[in-house]
Amino acid sequence: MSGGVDKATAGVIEQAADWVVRLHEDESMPAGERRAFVAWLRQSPVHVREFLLAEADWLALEGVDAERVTDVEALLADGEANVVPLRGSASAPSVKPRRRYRGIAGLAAAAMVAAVIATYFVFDAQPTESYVTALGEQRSVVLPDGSVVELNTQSRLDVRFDATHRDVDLLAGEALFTVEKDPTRPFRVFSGDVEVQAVGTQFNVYRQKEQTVVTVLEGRVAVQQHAASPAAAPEPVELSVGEQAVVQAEVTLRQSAPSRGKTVAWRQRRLVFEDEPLANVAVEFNRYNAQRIVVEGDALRAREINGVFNADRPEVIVQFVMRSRDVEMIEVPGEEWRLVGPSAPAE
Amino acid sequence: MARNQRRWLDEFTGEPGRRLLRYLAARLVDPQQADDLAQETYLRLLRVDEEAVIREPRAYALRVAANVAHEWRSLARNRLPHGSDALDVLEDGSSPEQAFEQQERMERLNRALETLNPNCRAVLLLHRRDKLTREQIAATVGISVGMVKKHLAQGLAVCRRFQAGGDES
Repeated sequence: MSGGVDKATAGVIEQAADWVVRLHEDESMPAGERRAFVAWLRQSPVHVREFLLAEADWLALEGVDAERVTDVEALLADGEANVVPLRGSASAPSVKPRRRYRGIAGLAAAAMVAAVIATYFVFDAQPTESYVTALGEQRSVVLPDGSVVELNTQSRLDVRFDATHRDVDLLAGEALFTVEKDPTRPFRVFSGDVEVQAVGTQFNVYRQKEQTVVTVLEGRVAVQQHAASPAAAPEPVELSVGEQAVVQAEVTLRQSAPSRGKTVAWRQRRLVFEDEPLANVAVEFNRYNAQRIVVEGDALRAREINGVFNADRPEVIVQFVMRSRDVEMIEVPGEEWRLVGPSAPAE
Repeated sequence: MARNQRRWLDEFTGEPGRRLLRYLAARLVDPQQADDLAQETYLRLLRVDEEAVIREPRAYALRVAANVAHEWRSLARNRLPHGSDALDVLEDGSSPEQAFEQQERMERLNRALETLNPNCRAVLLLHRRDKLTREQIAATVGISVGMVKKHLAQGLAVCRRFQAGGDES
């Protein structure tokens, strides 16, 4: 690399540095400034890149001149020498403050040692590890045993491993588990009162409002619904490849699963619908996007949708539905698309 | 939910944040990788609910970036034969390459500092190296807190520009 940076990049670098310094102030930033910062970040990937790099350098600067060869007092005297001719005045005012510096520097050195020691102990494995995804976010996590969990949008997962069990709580959302074989430690996923047990396999668990859907892609799993008393609990259901269990209050329905492609389409942020009522389609899109789809009118809510959609482009399904003459749409940008259709099926 | 969200973000505010940030920083050394990571982070920030980001924008943005970096690493690791722990060594920053990168970065930063004007450099050292607060620096040097902030931002920008442009001396 040579020739320095271009003017535009230099400007972004300055803005990023300014934001980083402001973000690191002791008091929290006022809401208006935070808003401005987010707007700035969302303007361009270059802004995001320069912000990340500035954060990295800000951290690295802590370690600069570790041997403390640079004498700050000499620098300040030097600075003053540069300043004096410009101002044309004497440098007397700063004598007193500078004497104070040595004491502060001693304290600061002690504080730094404490900070360095503290950073060494914080990252130890914890008994419960939590993973959360925000609206629209997806991530994959490698668990301590090598099993992989892919988390879909708006999901929460608590992981507790010990010598006898590998337990995972799906507190919300959806996850695809690829479990490493370990016959001595069963792998158990809890979704409310539903327990899914596997040895080495791949399966998807989707925790919905009133039911949990378990789909097996590889191997076998046992699905057990727990009840207040053991006697009331239904028998566990064994599922093998291509099977799916829908567990609702005290009922476990076993059925053949949709295709593998459909089950894991969410990993490519694709939504696949086969004769799915529009009301459910809206729920699925709303899992990924801040601007929500609201469907009104019973007949419209029941209208069946077929097709493959990009989860990040809800406007496509909105346009698709609007091709029907009996549907009206009201958009509140950033909030919702309200689709209003007939309550009764057309004659 | 709120508690989980807190915890998710806390990792970037307290002491643990430094370790995560270091992990992220190691993945930004390569310019191509930094571009890719920023691109994906940017796209995800566009997708998520803006209000949630605004609550704690710094922690949120860093969290999303670290998630992206982590996912990519996990994917790379899954392609390796089982039992390979070459990448685990990388992770804790103790591999020879990483130590080398770290040293290179420190040298670049030290060189960048030398190009700063003396006051700016003194303020930056007092804050980053010596851990003085902005108020303490203002009192020590005999300038306003606003001026301290200005020096800090300017100093950081020069360090960044120095690294981005190769040399500025």
